[in-house]
Formats: sequence, C-alpha cells, structure tokens
Amino acid sequence: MHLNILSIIFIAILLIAALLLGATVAAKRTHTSILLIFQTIVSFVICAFCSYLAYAFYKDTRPFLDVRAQIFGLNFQLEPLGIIFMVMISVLWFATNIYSLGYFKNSSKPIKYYFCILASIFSAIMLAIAGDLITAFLFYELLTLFTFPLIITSGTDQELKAANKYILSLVFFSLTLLLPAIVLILHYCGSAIFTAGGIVSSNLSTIMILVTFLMFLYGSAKIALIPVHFWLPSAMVAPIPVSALLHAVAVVKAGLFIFLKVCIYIYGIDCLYKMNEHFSQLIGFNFFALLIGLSVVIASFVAFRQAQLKKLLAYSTINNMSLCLLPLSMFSIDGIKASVLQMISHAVGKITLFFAVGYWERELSIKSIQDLSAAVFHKSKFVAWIFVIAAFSIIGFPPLAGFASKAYTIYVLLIDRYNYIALAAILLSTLFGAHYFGQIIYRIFFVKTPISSDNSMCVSAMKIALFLVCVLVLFYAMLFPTVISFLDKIQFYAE
Amino acid sequence: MLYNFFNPGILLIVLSAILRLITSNRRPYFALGFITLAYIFFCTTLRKWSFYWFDQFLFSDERAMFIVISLFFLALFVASFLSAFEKQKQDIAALHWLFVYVGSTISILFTSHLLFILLFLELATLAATFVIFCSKNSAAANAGLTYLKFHIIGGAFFLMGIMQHYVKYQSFQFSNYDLQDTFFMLGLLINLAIIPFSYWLLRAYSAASTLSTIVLSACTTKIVALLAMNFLYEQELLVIIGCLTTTFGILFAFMETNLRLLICYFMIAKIGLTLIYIGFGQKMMYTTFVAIVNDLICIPALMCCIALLKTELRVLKVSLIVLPLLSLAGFPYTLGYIAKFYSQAHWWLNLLYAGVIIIACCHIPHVIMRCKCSKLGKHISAKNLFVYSLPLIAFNLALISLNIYFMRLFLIKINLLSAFISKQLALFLVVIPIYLIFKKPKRLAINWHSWHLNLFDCRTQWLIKINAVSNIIQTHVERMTVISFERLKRQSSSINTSQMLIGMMITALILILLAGLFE
Repeated sequence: MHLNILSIIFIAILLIAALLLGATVAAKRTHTSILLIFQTIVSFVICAFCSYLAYAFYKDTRPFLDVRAQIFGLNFQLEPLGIIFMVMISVLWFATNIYSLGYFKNSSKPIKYYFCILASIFSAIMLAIAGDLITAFLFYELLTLFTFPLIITSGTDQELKAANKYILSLVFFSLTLLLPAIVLILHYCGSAIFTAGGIVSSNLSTIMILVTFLMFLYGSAKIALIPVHFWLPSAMVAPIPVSALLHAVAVVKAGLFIFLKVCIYIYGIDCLYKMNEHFSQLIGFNFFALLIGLSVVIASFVAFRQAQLKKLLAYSTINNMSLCLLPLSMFSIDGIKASVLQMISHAVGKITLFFAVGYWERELSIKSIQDLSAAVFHKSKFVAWIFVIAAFSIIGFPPLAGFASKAYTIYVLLIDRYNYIALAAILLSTLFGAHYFGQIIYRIFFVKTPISSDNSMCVSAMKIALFLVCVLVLFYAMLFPTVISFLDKIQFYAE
Repeated sequence: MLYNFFNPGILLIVLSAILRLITSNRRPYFALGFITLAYIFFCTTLRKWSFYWFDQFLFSDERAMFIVISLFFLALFVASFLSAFEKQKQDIAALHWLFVYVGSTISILFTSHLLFILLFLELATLAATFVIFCSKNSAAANAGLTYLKFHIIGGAFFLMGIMQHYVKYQSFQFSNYDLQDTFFMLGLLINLAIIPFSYWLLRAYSAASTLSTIVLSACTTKIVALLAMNFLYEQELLVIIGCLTTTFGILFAFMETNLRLLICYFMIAKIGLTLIYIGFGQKMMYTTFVAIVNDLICIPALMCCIALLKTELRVLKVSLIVLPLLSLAGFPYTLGYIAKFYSQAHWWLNLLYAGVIIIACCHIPHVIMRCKCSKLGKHISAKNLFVYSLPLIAFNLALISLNIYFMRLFLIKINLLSAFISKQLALFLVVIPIYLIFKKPKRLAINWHSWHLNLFDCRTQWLIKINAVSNIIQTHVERMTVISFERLKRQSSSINTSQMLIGMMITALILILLAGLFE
C-alpha cells in the first residue's frame, strides 16, 4: 500500500460515517446493543487498518517519509509516534467494545453515551495524526469535551461533581498553560508545524525554552503529573469501560503523546538536551528527573493508602504515567523510545486490571479491597489469574510487558551517566506497587469471608476481552524487538 | 529429545501444574512420585547438560551441580514426605508452590543468560511468597508481603546490574566475569539477608509452616550465595559486611529462645561467614562451595528437627542433629571444618567461630531440650517416631557421605592438621564450659524483636515514624552495647547478665591469647 494522505482521510471518513450512522440510528430509536455491535465492527475495521498502516510504514525502507496533508486549514502528518498511538488506541478500543457487550448487556445506556465514545476515539485518532500544534490542541480539547458527558451516567451528585472537576481542571490548565505556551511558540517561531529537528532552538533563549517547556508539561494536565492530577481519581466514578479505555488509556496517553510530539517536533531533542545540561550544571542535579521522580513517589505512596479498588488503580495510573515521563528526563532518542514502550506496556496492563475490577464490581459487587476474599477466586478463577498477571506486569515481573519496558527504561537511565534520582524513583514505585498489589493478591487467594451476589448476567464477552488484553500483556515482551526497530525511525524524524 | 526442551527445574514447574489439579488427600503421594520421576530424569540426563558455573573449580562441573541439585531435591522430598504424615492443610496447599520454588531455583543453574537468571529468581520469589501465604493468617500475610517487597527490590537492583553490564559489553551472557559492581552486589546481598536486610528472612521463615521452611531455608539463600561466588568474589567490603552479619546473627541467636527464630539468626550468622569466604576470593572458592553445601544440608536438617519436637524423647531429638550441629560448628573432620581449615591464616575469625560454636553446640541443644512439648500440638506416637526420624536420618547420611567425599578430595596434610586441630579443639574446649558455667537465663525478658515489627509493619501508617526510629535506635544501641547492665537487670530479676557478659569477655580474651600462641 502506498503511504499517502489518503490513508489518513480514509480513517477520518470512516469515523465520521460511524458518527453519522450513530446519529441516524438514534433518531430511529434503535436498540443500543445494535449500536454497540456496530461500534465493535467499526473498531475492528479501524484496528485492522491502523495495524496494516503500521506494518506498511515499518516495511518501507525509506528512513524518512514526509506524509502530510491540509484539510480545512488543519494540518495532518503521518509519523512513527502517531502510528503507534493510533494502533494502541484502536486495538484497545476494539477490546473495550467487546468488553462493553458483556458489561452493558442487561442495562441500556443513552444514545449520547455511544456517540461520545465514538467522538472521543475520533478525537484521539485525529490527535495522533495532527501535523501542528493548533490541530493537536483542537483535538486535545475536543477529547476533553467528548469525554465529559461519559462521566455523568446516572446523574448523581457525585458524578456531577466529578464531571465538573474533570472539565474545569483540564480546561483551566489547557487555557492557562498549554494555550499560552502555543501562542508563545507561534510568536517567537512564526509557526507551530511539527518539524523534524524542532523549530525553537534558534528562536528562543534557554530561559524561555525552560518556561515554555514547563508550561507544556503541566498544561498537558491529561498526563496527570502531580500536582495537576486531581481530576483523574474523581473521574473514576464513570463506568468501567469508560474508565478503562479513556481515563486509563486514551485520555492520559493523549496528554503524554502531545507532550512527546512537542519534545521531538517543536523543541527537538538536541535543544532540550542542551537546556537540561545548562540547568543541571547550575543546580547540580537533573531537575526534571527530580520533578517527575517526586510525582512517581507521591503517587505510589497515595495509592498505597487507598482502600477503594478504582481509586487505587487511578493513583497507580498517575504513578505509571510519571514513570513513562522518567526516561524522558535524559532528553535522548532512547529516552523517547523508552517512554513510548512504557506507555504501551502500561496501557495494556492497566486496561486489563480495570476490566478485571469491572468484572468483580458487576458480577460480585466488589468495590473495595476489604470486600475481596478467596470467594472471588472460587467464583472467577479465570479473571483472578488474569488480574494477577496484569498486576505483576505493572510491578515489572519478567517476562511480562511491564518488565520489558522497565528494563529498557533502566538501560536508558544508565547509558550516559547514572540518573540516580530516576533509578531511586523506579525502586520506590516497584516497592509500593508490590505492596498494594500483593495485598490484593493475598486477599483473593487466601482470605476466607462469605460473599453474596445476586447478579446472574452472562459475562462471556467480558472474559473474551480480558483474554485478548491478557495475551497482549503476556506476549508484548516478544514483540519488543519489533517495536524498538519501528521506533528507531523516530531518530530520522528527530534530527 | 525431552532434555532439549526441559531441564529438571522446568520439569518440576510443569509437574506443579499437574499437582495442583490433584485432590488434597492424594497430593503428597503424587508429589513424592513426581519428585522421584524428576530426579531420575536429572540423573539419567546429567551428562547432556552444559553447566556454565564453577569452571574454575578443582572438580568437574557436573559433580558440583549433581551435589547441589540432589540436595535441593532431598529438601523437597523431605517436605513432601512429612506432609503425607502431618496432613496439615497449609502444607498440602503449599506443595505445588514448593515445586515451582525448587524448580525455579534449579533452573538458575542451567542457564548462562543473565535475564533468565533474573526470571527464575523472580519466579522463585513469587512461589516462595505464595508458600508463606499458604499459612493463611495475618502474620503469614505480612511476612509474605515483606518477603515479596525485599526480593523485588533485590531483583530490581539485579536488573540494574544486568542493564549496566549490557551498556558496557552489549551482552547478556554470564561468561564475562567482570560483573563486580554495586548494583549486582546490592541485589544479591538483599537476597542473602545480610544486615540490615535480614528482616525478611526472620519474618518469612517464622511465619511459614514448618515443612515449607525446610525447603525455603535450603534454596533461596544458597542459590544466591552460589551466584555471589561468581559475581562478587574477592572484595574486601564483603569481608566487613560478613563480619557484621555474623556478629549480629550470633548475638541475637544467643538472646533468642524461640527455636525457629534461633535457627534463623544462626542461618544469618552462617551467611555472614559464607560472605567472608567469598570476600577472600579465588583461593577460598572451593572451600566456600563446600561451606555452602554444608549449610544446604544442615540448616534444613535443623528446621526438620522442629517437626520432631512433638515427642518427649529428648535424647532422640538431640541425637539426630548432633552431626549437623557439629558440622555447622566446624568440628574437626566434619564438612564445616574444611572452610575453617583454609581460613586459618585469619586469626580474628576464631572469635566468630567461637560464637558459632556457642550457638550450635550449646544454645541450640539447650533450647531443644527445654522446649515444652505440650504446647506443640498432637504428640508423635511411638510407631510413627521412626517415620518422623527418617528425614533426619536421610540428612545425616547425606552429610556423612559428602563428608567422606570432600575430606578425601581436599587432602589436608597431617602436620598442619594436628596443629590446627588442637587450635580448633581448644575453641570447643574453652567455649562450651564457659557457656555451661554462665548458663543462659531462663526467661527472655527483652522484647527485642518488636522493633523489627514496628519499623516495617506499616499497612496504613507512615513508613518511618520519626519517634519510633529514635526509640528503635536508642533501644538497639542499648542492647548491643555493654553499658546498661542495671537496666537489663531491672527488666528481669533472673537474668545474670553481668556474669554472662563478663564470661563472654573472658572467653574472647582467652581465644585471642590462644590464637596468638599458635600463630
């Protein structure tokens, strides 16, 4: 297949068609399960297409492909990072749709729910192929807008409060930090188009680079770096498929993705490396490693103290997102690669955990750690084992997904000079993770308490989805060399 | 052929999955059958394996590996054998996890790839955690989590060492011996339970069931000691750490009256001695291996004797562990004596050996004889006594056969021998009477190990409370120094602490004089 912008247009048309069809069906009051099945089919088609696109990109022997297009004044570009992000979102969206078939089987959701899911995924995929900062910002905000109604499902006060907190905090940081940073880049550099090698090195002083860099870091509040993280635990009141796909995968990864693109295509790795060297020599240590390391440790510690399962997973997400940023503190191509690898391994591991927790919540009415017991294991052995595998992947046990990315992160941190702050953060995160997942595993296998549940729904679709994501967790390490060689292409885009 | 795909360790792991499917009643019997099967497979295919370890040893690789792996199988067999008679639910539940644990430990010996070594170490950690969890009480839960956390941190340091090695040499192969760096050291020393990381060993081995502890005490620390021999040889820092660890183990073992904890502290002391031998380097490499093998037989034998405590026949209790205790103490012409012989150039080691002798030859038998059997549950009937004694007899036979083999192998010369024997015998002759004169107090008045629990048992509290830390340090310093006799006396009227401490000081003085005479 010839890689050109038609590929991008195809995805956009497909998604728009899906949205239009959804709206049409809604008008005719069709049953929502048909919408869900339709969404599953669409997600499978998009997943297959994105995978094929990635394969074609990988097989193309040309190191650098400048695939761009402009539609209605918006710039689009196809590049390795965007392709990886698209593939990840589409694969996990497909798995979530299968999961939702079982999760929502006996309950009906309003049409707006399915419309918002589709629109959110559309925004995420458009963000993946954004060609400049303006386009990226537009779809970044659209993602916030379309995910906002998903938090309000039953209309309770708690949900309204959580939704308000979600949208206000994300929009606030976007408008006060992210947008001004984009304006500053436009003002000093004249354009905001993602360019190989970056555009700011000769246009901004070192101080301005630092200031705008920090504005981008904390303006992308979707990364959920401490202290701009507080929207994420509140957003966990949403149903599990929403929490799993959007808040643990699409939304947080969108924040990381836009930040990585800014690092590579706006600043350039060399420019950031020089800035970091300059300030490290002034202060005496790597300031960014300290900022991100603190976020890792604080998030781990707060997760350690949680009693509710979803809140624990939310803070674990914050911890893992900070771990994704940690290799970036080396400001090297290998650091970028390690961030991307960590992003993928976290996405597959975390979505598995959310699916398992959602299964227990739906089937066994379990919401807190204290509710867990050996009865959970006896009633859902398959799900319990998958939870254990995913938990150990997040901790970093070999040979699971999390181990491969953790090993590569440590490799990156040891290449040039030892980043002891980052290494210490990884150790502490591992220690806390072992504790809070260890106690859950103990309770599932060894604590005997009576448990009663009246739920009797068919959950085979949920188990199929769990199996699919568990396969990714188990075999991601085997795909590791392929993913790394794919990411090697980023080097040509960064220079 | 099967051996191209499985090593005996992986075979055990596969068999554990089958064992899990078998009903609880029959599981111990099937376990015995599976162990026999795996061992026969190992023996018949021994020559087909490549061992990447110990190529600098006097004897060939396969003999060294045969001994080590056979002893792992022996420990597992003993645990399965006793579980068939004890029929305790936690022991039967832990059986298939013990298979995974021993299987992972054995698999480490068959690989030269650093990442695979780490993989099997982590798998062994996981399995051991589940073994401890099988006791199903809050102490076991906390102990298991502690074990998991310490070993995960050790594994993380080990991974950092591996990545550092890869950065330097672009290889994950074990064959490059330039592996002496801080990360590997930290990772291995945490797993070895040296001071101040020995907390996990005390907690885990006291919370796990008795039979599980036989296997747990055999595998983790020994395999890590074997790894440390290859990764960390000839480092002076190890000698210092080893001395501190041995001293810590001896002092706390001396103050302990709980037999299982006593053996744990004694294990820590022996680990410290092993570390000292590793620190001495190449010249002690062979004898270090023998010291590890000695611990590999004798420590599980000591743990095994706890199962025999449920009988009033005290003579039987002590008689079956005389040989392991003498070997641990390093009595002349035992297995433990070989490493002592080759370390005779270092006179200060005699102080540590004296402490080990006190614990092994005086304190442990004393505590065993004083154990109140009525509190240990159902007594062993006379007809089952022989069956319960069989494991200890097996350990004794293994010890005697290895004793004969290694004593012939090392060809120690007679003229040096007599001089050394007299010095070593002098240690025994001096130390034991001093212990008997200044007898161990009847009650343990000091709740010394609560500081461990307060510091680390923090489910919902801050990791370190500043007040607790200052109290802990203050209490710890008081106990470790010889300053506050009066405070110790106030806590218990029956402690003759001043006499005990004066006795220890006199012992030390006599030993130094003796060592000086023979030097």
